[in-house]
Amino acid sequence: MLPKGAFLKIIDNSGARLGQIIWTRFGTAGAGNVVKVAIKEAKGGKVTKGQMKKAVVVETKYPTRRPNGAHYQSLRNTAVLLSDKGNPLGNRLRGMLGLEFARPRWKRVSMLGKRLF
Amino acid sequence: MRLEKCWFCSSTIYPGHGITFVRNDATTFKFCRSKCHKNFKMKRNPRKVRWTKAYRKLAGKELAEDATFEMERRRNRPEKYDRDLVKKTVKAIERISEIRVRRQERFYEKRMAKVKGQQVARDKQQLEQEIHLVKAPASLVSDKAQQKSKEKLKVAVEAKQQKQKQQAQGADAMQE
Repeated sequence: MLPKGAFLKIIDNSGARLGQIIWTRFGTAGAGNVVKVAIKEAKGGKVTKGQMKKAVVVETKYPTRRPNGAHYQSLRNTAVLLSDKGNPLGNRLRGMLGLEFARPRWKRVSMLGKRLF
Repeated sequence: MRLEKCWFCSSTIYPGHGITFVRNDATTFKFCRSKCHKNFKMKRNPRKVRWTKAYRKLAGKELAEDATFEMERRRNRPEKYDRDLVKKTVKAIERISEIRVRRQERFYEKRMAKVKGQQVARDKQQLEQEIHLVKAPASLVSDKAQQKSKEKLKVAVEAKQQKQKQQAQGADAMQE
């Protein structure tokens, strides 16, 4: 349930630390949704502060609903930076991914990280 | 589908219920309802919260260690699907649950047995001391009078029986 203007912690090693959402497809973004992000903090790596990149939201504090009715939530809002084509910019992930990333669309992202339950 | 156990109160979580919390270090906590979730957020220790199974087992109020609990232990080895195995497992579940319930009830009865005698004594004392809460004092007085007349009757009956006995004994002695 992240709207425009929300801050996301970037959990890959692309160099960015914090990103602010500047565009979502449906008004609010949840786990597994792609958003456009303006990088507010960066340290080293391929990305610098002020750039606009695509990202996929990985964890949200707001409960994510699964089709079987189960809900799960995290302690923080995180995202992974993507290139324009949709491939992850970093090559390591620091965090957990939900089953939302089991789809073939996120094959590259899920290969970087550890799967949730 | 899998029935999970609530992290806080140890009750089963059915599909569609409760919430799962994923911590930053990737540990997951499942809760059956917001009551447990909120207690967790308050950083309460389930072993000290009296209505949870964790407390009850620790305090010896419920059967904690038994062979019947082995069935519910989580096994991370996936079994190849076999229809016969499933049939057997279902039967085993029913049977083992039966046994477990029986053992738990026996445990409870044993625990409560010592208390029963104390409870009876306490009830008796309460009845004697607090009878005024149940019956009005006026009726208590009339009750006492009734009790006295009953006792008198009892004594009279006993005396009569004694007399009859003596007479019978006398008659026997005479016959001899």
